[in-house]
Amino acid sequence: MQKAQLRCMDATLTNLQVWSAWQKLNRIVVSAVHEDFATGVRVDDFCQTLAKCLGRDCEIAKELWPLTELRTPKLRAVAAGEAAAADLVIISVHHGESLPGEIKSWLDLWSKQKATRPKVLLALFDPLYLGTSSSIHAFLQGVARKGNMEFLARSEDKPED
Amino acid sequence: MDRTRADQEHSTMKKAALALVIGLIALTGCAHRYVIRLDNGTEITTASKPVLKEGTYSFKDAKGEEQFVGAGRVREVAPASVAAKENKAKPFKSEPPKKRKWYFLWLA
Repeated sequence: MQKAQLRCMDATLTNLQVWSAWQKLNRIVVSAVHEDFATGVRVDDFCQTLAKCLGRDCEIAKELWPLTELRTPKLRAVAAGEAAAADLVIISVHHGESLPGEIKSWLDLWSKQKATRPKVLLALFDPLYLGTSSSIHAFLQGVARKGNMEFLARSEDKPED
Repeated sequence: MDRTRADQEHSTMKKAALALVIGLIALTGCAHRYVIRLDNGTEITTASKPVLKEGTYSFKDAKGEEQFVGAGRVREVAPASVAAKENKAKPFKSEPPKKRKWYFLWLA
């Protein structure tokens, strides 16, 4: 466990309040919604980083929900149920003024439910050189605060030339 | 007199035709409905035949809007009529316990 902590160079992760609790878990449940293929890849990349940081003993059980699937009310309900039970909920979107309606409805379904254990809400955005998502950032921060969740936002690194 | 009879026959034919049309509409409506059963048992009724393309089923809902579901979540896709039959609970037949002969009692 100490080795895993030493290997992890991601300070934003290790600074999370839940980090020490996560290090003791052998399974972390991740529920993610993403806008398209590129934002889905971003979720996968993050989960790989998380897995590296947590070490071999921890399994990352992730479920990805593309935005198109959240349009169907029954699927949205299933996705919300999973998010309610997850340790980490990821929202991976492109820069914009506000979140797509489907994601807002999905958030409404689960974010007010009382969590049984600490939960982290993570927003993954496009690289900063492509713009900003300050309003989405503020909105999600509010959702996290109301739902007693830790909030973390990250922008993708600029690809190296 | 003949005219009244003719009117009556005409009215009966009209009713029969109406019933036929309603029946046909109902049949064609049902023919396009499918049920997508997900891994967790959730069922989604579609208004069109789901089409699988690049790992995603696309279909139209009751409002005619296009919807999507990842093939990885789907356990089964079946016409609504077939799914309804499958969902009907099979009658449970309880067999009365077999009476044992008195001469087997010593084995118990």
